[in-house]
Amino acid sequence: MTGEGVPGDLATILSRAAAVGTGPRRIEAATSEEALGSVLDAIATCILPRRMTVSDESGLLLGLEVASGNLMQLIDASTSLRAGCADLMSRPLRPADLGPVAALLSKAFPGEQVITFSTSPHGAASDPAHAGLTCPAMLHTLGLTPFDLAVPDRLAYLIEAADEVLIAICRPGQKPLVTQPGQPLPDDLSNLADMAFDGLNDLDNILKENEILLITRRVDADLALGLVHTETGAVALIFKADSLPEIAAYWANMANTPLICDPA
Amino acid sequence: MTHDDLSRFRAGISTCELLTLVDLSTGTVLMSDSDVHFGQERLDHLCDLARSVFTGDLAATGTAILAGPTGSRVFVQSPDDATEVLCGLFGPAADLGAACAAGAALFHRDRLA
Repeated sequence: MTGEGVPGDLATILSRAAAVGTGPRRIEAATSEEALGSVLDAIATCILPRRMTVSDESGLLLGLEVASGNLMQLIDASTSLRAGCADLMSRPLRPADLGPVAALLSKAFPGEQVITFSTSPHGAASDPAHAGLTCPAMLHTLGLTPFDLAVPDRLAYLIEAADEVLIAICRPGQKPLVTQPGQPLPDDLSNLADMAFDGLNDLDNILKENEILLITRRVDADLALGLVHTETGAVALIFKADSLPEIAAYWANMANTPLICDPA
Repeated sequence: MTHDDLSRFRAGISTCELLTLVDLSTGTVLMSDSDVHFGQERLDHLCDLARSVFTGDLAATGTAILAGPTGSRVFVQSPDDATEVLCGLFGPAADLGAACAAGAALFHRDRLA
């Protein structure tokens, strides 16, 4: 049996799952939403019973018992966090604990942290009478909503966020839409866009749903070209070249970062 | 460039799950480094992607990144030999700026050696 026929995304997820446990994972979280999103994602993707240790630059933050993608127990906490949550420790968590647990997580993950996750097998089997706290319930209690529910059009979201480095938006057969009118444009802007759409056959083999391909070219060294497939066809975005890694990182991470929502 | 260079690169960039050096002219994976074993078909797929990006109609030069919600594939081309490309597979929260810089630095060090 080979990997042929296995979707690339699934293969990536399986490989990543296999790698969990080979070493700690480190996440740089700029905002509280990013930090909380990474913690809940780590819990949600942990199916087998595991003890998960979450630390930042200051040392251990939380020790968690996790199973079936749910938070089962709080096992350990830093001294400052433990002060406000002693009654939550080392007992099965119930739905009534959602509020205090969410408050604890908010306190533990204010953002601007380098968070390290490590997992180890948990000695005791989970109590089957307790399902623990689910990640969607914790997300909701934290006042957050998954990115895909909050943002129907991720390309429009990127365009809005990248307005300082985005130079033009191009669609096949249309004149490029210049987003920074005051900015001097390269003479061959149209040629660059046309070249991008000439490569559409290649793109079909490369780009999957919700992916962006960013490239630089020697002939337009100051520019980076971003290509996205949308429901209405291909779109080419022209950026300042030095923003290429930042744009790619933003695109890759944005769907994994929950957004603040109206609790109502 | 040696296998140890690839290992050091991966150790320096969080969530770098796989790093390969490929030869686009032959479609060959010259070497690779990862924590877990990746099947040859996965390595070949990454190499094929690099060929499509750098030698097809798109004709990228220098750097290319294919990013999505499950992570990013980063391609850094050798400035001296356009057929040599470093290909990396990263998790969604990776510092891709550092990854591109580290790739360019590896080729630069090779040039000085």
